[in-house]
Amino acid sequence: MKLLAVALLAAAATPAMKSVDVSLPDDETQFTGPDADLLNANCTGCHSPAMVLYQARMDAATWAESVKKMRDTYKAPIDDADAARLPAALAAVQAQ
Amino acid sequence: MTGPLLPRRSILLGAAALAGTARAQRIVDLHLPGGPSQRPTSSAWPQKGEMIVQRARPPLLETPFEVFGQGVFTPNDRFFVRWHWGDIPTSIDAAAFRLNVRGHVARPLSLSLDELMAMPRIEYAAVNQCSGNSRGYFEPRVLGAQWGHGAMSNAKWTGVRLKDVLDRAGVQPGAVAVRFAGLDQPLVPDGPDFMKSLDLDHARDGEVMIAFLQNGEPLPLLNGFPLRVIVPGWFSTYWMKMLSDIEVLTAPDDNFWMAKAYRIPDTPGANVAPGAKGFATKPISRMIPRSWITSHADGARVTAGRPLPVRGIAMGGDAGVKSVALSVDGGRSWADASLGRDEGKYSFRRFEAVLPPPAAGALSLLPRCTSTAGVTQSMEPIWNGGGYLRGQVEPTRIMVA
Repeated sequence: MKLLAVALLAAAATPAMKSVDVSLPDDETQFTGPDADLLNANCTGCHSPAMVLYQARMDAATWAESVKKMRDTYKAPIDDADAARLPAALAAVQAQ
Repeated sequence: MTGPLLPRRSILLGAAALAGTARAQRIVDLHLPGGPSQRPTSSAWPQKGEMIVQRARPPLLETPFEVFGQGVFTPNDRFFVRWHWGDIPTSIDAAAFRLNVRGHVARPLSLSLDELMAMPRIEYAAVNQCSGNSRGYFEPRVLGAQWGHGAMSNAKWTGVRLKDVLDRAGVQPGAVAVRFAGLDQPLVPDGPDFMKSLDLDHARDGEVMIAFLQNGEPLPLLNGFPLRVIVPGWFSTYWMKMLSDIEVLTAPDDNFWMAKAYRIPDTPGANVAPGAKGFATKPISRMIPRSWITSHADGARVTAGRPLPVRGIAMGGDAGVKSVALSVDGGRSWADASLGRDEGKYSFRRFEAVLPPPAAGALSLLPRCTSTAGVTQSMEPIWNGGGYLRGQVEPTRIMVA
C-alpha cells in the first residue's frame, strides 16, 4: 500500500447518519445607483451583487467579455438590449 | 501563538453574532492589490462559525486566516465553502438518500448511506484547496472569486474507497473515466450542471475516497453532506459535494466543467505572460507546495535585539512536506525550520523556528516549502487568466523596533 496514512477501520464505530434540514441566510443586498434596476434584473437572479462589487476595477470592454460568458456559457437570460447596456453599467457601479 | 494575519477586528457587532442574520460581525482587509479589499464576516450560515463572506449566493465563505494558526486541522465550522450554482438542497433525508453508480458497469447500483457505511473504511488527512485560492493577489488582477489565502482547509476524512464502490458495480472493459455529479442544480434551465471526472486509473487508485465523515463528524451541509469525493493532492474542484451520481464513461469527459472551465496553461508552472493567447490548456489537477507564516500578521511589530520565534503551516501539494526553510534576507540565505507532527502526506504540517535577534527596521519573513516529491516553492509569481495555481513564496512583512 502506497499511502501510509490509510488505515482500515471497523465499520461499526459510527451510528447511522441523521437527516439534515437547514436554511441559508437571505442575501438582502441589491445594486444601487442609476443602473440599479438593470443590474438587479439581469445579475442577481443567479448571484449576489458582491460577485461584481468585489472584483478589481475593470473597464467596460472587459465587463463585456464577462456578460458574454454569462449569456453564452451560463445561459443567463439577458436580452440583447440589456446586454448592450450592462458593460458600462458594471464599470460604473464599481466606481460608485 | 495565533497572531492573525488579518488586521485586528475593527468592527464587532455582538448582537449580529447571535442573530440569524447575515449582518457583518467585523470587517477584514484581505490586502488585495488595488482593492476592493474589505470583506464582512458572518456566523449566519448553518453549521458554520465566523466566516469571511465573499459572496452570499451561491455561498463563497472564506476561512479567516487566523484559523490556520490554531491547528493543522480546520474545524468543520470554519472549513471554507464554495458553490457554483444557487440551487442547493437544504434538506437531506438520510434514509431516502441514494448514491447511484451507472454507465459502463455490469451492475448499476443505488446505494443507501447504511450500505456505504457498512463497507470497509479508510481514513486520512488531506488539504482541500480551491483552484483559485489566493486569486485576489494575482497581478494583473483577474476575474473570478477574489479569494485571499483562505479558500483552503484541512480535515481528516473517513469513508470508503471509490475503487471498492466501482468494483461492486463492475466496471466494464472499455471504460476510461469516472464522472461525479452532486445534488446541486443550475438556476437556469440550460445552465451547465456542475460535473467533474477523473481518469479511470486515478479513480481506482485506492486513495480516492467517498467520504461521509469530516474530522470524525458528518459533513456540514455546505461542505457536501452526506457524501463528498476526496481526491487527495488535487484541487478541490474534483472533490464533488453532495455526491449523488457516479457515471462510468467510455470516452473522455467533454462536459463544460472539464472541457472549458478549470483549465490552466499547458506551460511550466501554468505561467503565461499577461494577455498571452494561443497557448494549449489542460484541466487543472495536482496541487503544489505552499507555506505561510501564521505567528505574525502583516504589519506586526516585534522587539529588536531579541530572538524571534515564528511559526507557520505548509503543505506539499501532491506529496508530503520534506522541509520548510526561512529567509529574512530576501532569499539570499535560508535556514531550515523544524517540522511539527506528520499527520500524513496530504495534510498541512506545522513548522517553527527561532530566528536570531533582528535589527530594527522592516523585516520580510519568507517561508519556503520543499515537497517530498522534490518540488520547491518559487520566489517568482506566475500569472494566468484563471488565477489558478498560485504557489510562490508568500512574504509576511513585520516591523522590528
